[in-house]
Amino acid sequence: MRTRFLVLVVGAALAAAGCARVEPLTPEAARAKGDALVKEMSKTLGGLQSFAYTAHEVREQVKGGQKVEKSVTRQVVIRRPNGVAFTSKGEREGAGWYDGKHLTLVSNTDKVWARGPMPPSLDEALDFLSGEYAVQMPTADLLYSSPYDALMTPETKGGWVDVQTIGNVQTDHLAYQGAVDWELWLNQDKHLPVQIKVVYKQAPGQPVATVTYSNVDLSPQVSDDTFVAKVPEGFNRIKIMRHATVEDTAAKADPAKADPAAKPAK
Amino acid sequence: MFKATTPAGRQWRSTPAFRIGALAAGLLIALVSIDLSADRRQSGGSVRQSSGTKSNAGASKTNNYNRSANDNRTTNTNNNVNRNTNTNVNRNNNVNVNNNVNVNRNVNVNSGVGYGARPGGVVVGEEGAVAVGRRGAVAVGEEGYAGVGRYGAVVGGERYESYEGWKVAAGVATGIAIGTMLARPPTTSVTVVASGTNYMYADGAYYEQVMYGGEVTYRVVNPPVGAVITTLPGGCTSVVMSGVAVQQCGPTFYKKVSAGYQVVVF
Repeated sequence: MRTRFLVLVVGAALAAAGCARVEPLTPEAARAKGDALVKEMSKTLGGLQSFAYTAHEVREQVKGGQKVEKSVTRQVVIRRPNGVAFTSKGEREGAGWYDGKHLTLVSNTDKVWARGPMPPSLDEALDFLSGEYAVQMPTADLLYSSPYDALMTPETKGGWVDVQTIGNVQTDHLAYQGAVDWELWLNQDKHLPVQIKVVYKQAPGQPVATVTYSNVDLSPQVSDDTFVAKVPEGFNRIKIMRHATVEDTAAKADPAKADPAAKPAK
Repeated sequence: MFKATTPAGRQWRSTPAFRIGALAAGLLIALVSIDLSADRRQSGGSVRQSSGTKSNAGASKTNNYNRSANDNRTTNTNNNVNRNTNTNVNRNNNVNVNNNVNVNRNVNVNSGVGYGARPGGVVVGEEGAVAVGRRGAVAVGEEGYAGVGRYGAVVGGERYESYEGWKVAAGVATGIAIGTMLARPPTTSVTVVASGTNYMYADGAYYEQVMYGGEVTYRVVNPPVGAVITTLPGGCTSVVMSGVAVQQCGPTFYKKVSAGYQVVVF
């Protein structure tokens, strides 16, 4: 009798465990599910005229063979096609504005500011930031008009992994491998990013950057003034360094043909 | 290049010893220029930016910074029987300074898929001629292009986390090259002002604040005329230039003033 009871209990427990367990997906199914989720996120983010969020970024740096973590929290406002404004707090405090013509960066820590020309759209500006000004943003991919195109390549391997809780938010956890490995956590409500983690596995020490999003506002109150640079009184202007190595010969020959992004600052 | 002449106006000719010395110095500098990246900044960009699956980026930078200072003195004394004594003193103070910064960046993007297929993706460029951004040309403007303009400058040197990091990478007793960037100034640096601009000074080198990679960075610049330092760096010699007694410290001339030593040019 006792043995029969034990068998029943164990059987019931196993049955319960079986019901709760999520069957692992095949690689093809995981990729398809992940792909669909990233596309959904891309469609949502790309379709937003303006949005705002707080990004808490923890980035590892390798110094003398040792990993050091640096963290910064940014309040960011985006308005497509060409408006970005942010303030940052952390080890270095500052602010920045992009208005479709210029990038203005302020360092409150050093009481200096810098300004340089920029292309007229956000997509181009993100390319320009990385290529010309060497500004590295782990979150840049999510700001393009098509985050999916920015993130995915045919060589990218991976897909949906599992369901995880970040903070108190239920998320779909995706993981991909490529030249860099990255993971993305999308909330199950609107498929918007809750967290992204990037492993720069080809860099010395394989540093990791993790960005956690909060206070996401899909209809923030913004105006043109939001994207007008506000440099504090008394700050000194300094040079902005670029990797410019090519000359726009057409513009030099005929300034009227100059790239719109190249117009001098007023 | 600054080239001094003899008091009689005759141009100084290099001796075999000088030529061998210059060759040795050149080889030494070339060795120093080889990639010594132990303390360089880590990458931390976006997935897209860092992805090598669609974009293959190769960068090669060569910084040549050759300094050779020659102080050749020949004293010939001829004592003839007729007691005519001729004393010829030839002093040649030749300082040859070659600050050559060659930056070759080659970014090749294999378009046709994913990122590369994005409208107007990064343009393929020949070595040393890269165009970044969808529009296929680097912006030309008063601010930022190719070192033109008051508030723009082209990246022409490596970046290190610190002066100590640079010294480890350099590995030899040499002057820090113009264009080298440090994440923070040397701990022994002091602020000097020239023409209303603040510079940091340490060990014979001057640094200006610039914005690079979105962060305030310290870049080695030519000694700013008018800057006053209280103590000369080591290895200076007294010379007379254009009838003025000055101290020559490497390629830099200092005139004694009440507050210390002021950078002057001839």
